[in-house]
Amino acid sequence: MSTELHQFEAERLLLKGARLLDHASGLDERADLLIEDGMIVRRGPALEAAEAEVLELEGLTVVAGFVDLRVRLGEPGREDRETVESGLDAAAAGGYVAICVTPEATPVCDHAGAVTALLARAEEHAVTLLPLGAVTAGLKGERLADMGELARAGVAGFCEGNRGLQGGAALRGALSYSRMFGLPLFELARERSLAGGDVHEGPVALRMGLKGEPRLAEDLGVQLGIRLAEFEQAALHLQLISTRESVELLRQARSRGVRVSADCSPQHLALTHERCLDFDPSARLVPPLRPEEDRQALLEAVAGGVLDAICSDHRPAEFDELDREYPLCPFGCASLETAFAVAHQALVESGICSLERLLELFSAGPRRVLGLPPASFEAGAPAELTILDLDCAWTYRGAEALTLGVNSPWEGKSFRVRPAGLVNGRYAALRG
Amino acid sequence: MSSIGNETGRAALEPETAAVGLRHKHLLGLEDYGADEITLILDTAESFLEVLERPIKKVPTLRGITVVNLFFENSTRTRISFEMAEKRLSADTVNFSASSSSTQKGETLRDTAANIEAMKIDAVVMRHSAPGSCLFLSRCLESVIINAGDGAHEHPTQALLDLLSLRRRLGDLRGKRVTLVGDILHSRVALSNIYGLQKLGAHVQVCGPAPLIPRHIEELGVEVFWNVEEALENSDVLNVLRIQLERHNAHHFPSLREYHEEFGVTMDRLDRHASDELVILHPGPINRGVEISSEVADSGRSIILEQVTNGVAVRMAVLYLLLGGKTREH
Repeated sequence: MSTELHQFEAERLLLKGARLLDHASGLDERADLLIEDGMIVRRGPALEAAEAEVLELEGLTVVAGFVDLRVRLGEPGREDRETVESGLDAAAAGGYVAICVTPEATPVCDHAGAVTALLARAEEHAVTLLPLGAVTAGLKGERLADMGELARAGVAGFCEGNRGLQGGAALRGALSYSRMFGLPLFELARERSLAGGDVHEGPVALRMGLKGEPRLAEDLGVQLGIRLAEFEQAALHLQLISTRESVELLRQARSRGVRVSADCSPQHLALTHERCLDFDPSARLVPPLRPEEDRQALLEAVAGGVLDAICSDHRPAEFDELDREYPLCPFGCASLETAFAVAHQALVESGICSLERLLELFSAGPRRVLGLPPASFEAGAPAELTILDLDCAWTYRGAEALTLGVNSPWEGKSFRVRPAGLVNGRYAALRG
Repeated sequence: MSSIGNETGRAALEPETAAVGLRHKHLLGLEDYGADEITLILDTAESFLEVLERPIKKVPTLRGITVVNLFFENSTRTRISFEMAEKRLSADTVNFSASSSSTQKGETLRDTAANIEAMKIDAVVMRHSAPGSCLFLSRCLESVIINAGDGAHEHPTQALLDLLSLRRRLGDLRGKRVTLVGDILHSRVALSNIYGLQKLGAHVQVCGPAPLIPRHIEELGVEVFWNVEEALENSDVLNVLRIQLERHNAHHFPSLREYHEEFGVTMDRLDRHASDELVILHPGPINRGVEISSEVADSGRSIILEQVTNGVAVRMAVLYLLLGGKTREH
């Protein structure tokens, strides 16, 4: 039995009875919200509107819409992992109004046709799909993709996927060239000659008999990225930060004004490398899960503003490719539907940061990275809202999830908060 | 216990085995085996060593039991040793050899194993290059799984036969210093040896070129040496690991010649730095003149061939302890 998602499009939407929460504008009140043609038109108590689609949101909280900076879908090429539709449904269940989709598809999203096709597939969905274009043609790391063409076709940024750019010259070229189009460059920074382990290099890798990837691979990659962004005076967004040292490098870079932003995944905020010991492939991530001291540094960085966003890093896989020898399983996990609940548990329930800060990391932060203004509750603003249930007990069950991906490290785990849906312009989606 | 074969075997086994049995269904590794379980296996193996001395070296213990030897990586010694152990216990055996690469192209490990299990078998002995593959198999199948080496993870029967060989030579292993010298990083026997030796109270040292010693290995409670002569000074046992040429690149060590110069176990080194009682082990196959000189390998200090004999007895013990109950069920 899977989660039901009610999606609809309405010219006039009336949100009734919810708590409206927007720390940026100091808003925290129980009020109704009227949306017409995708724009917020009125806010106030006991609003009435003729011919409006009414959403009864008693007991729920409406916040600025969530944006995810890193999602991999399977379509085109690996629809058995995730289709555009299943991925966007999962994103809706995760409360996202928009998701950035990595170009890792077959064919690779490195030409206008691929962007157009992806956008067309997502057109009728409540969740906005923001395609990321490949940095190099075919993600081969050889020559730059036609970034101008990709920009005109509507990509939200550029990204080389899990492979990342190979070395300083490639990253420098990409930074320098992509700057012309005013779109962000996303990079998973690693020193490739030191990277490539199954798990974090440490006692866990040793006990498992597996090749480990040292922290150093990430630290040097982040260092190089920061220095190049500084040198080229270009903006760079570093994804999936996972080590103590790279957090420190970012802190220093920020303080001298380098235009570098960064995110991390909820998995790295909640789990450590000991989680790998039972050879469960859903905890085999890129970058690998790290020791507790790195997790602590990451929690602090997220709370203290060194990191800008939390991205789900959703990488769905299907059953058969996981049902095999550990080193042959694909990296990553399905995480769209658990991202907020996991991050809330790791950060808010544990007392590390406020709900306000967490919401920023899911909305204002990623929007800033993409060059978008923060979502607003004022009349005249486009309606981009996430609906949250901040007081519920639920348990993640893959069988009930909307993603096709079966690789969740959270199977059977219980949480206290859960997104209930979203409003995105004329569209809305609510979990049944 | 009567299934062991004859009166002598039974008498030798009963005092120990009556007290404890194995708590595990499988032998995936020694990391989570208790010292009592390891001791039970070694004690049982002693009885089987006696069986191996008889003119008729076969007992009916596992009659009607079918064991499949599933080898996805090349192995001569381990495969033959298991097969010998199975035959001497009167089990039916089937050998399956395939390179991992050929199965990567086609049938999955689960399917290969499930097909074999569908032919009604009782146990699988598996060698595979992927760490964790025996654990994976134990989650797929009903059969008893015995790990014959899963990558650089564990190779428990090799460690058990090393333990048996040492115990027969040195008696109680508590307080003994055992040095593993060579390629610790890629070795399939290092971890199992460390776990087994520590559980029986020995102190473990590792020695080799720094790039071939995994960082963090100290956290397992072992002492690290880069100088073989220093390591030899206080060792009771030297377990010389094979230098696996196929696994190395230029970042690990420069040449076999240099390896021999720095770490080769030669008579001259032993005379100058080792105690006269030092015992030499080697899991084989030996690269003579590289990690060990012929003179040492063939000397009285070396118990390399005893290890091979003991290997059959240890594997008989493991098979007996994991599968003996099944014959009673039948």
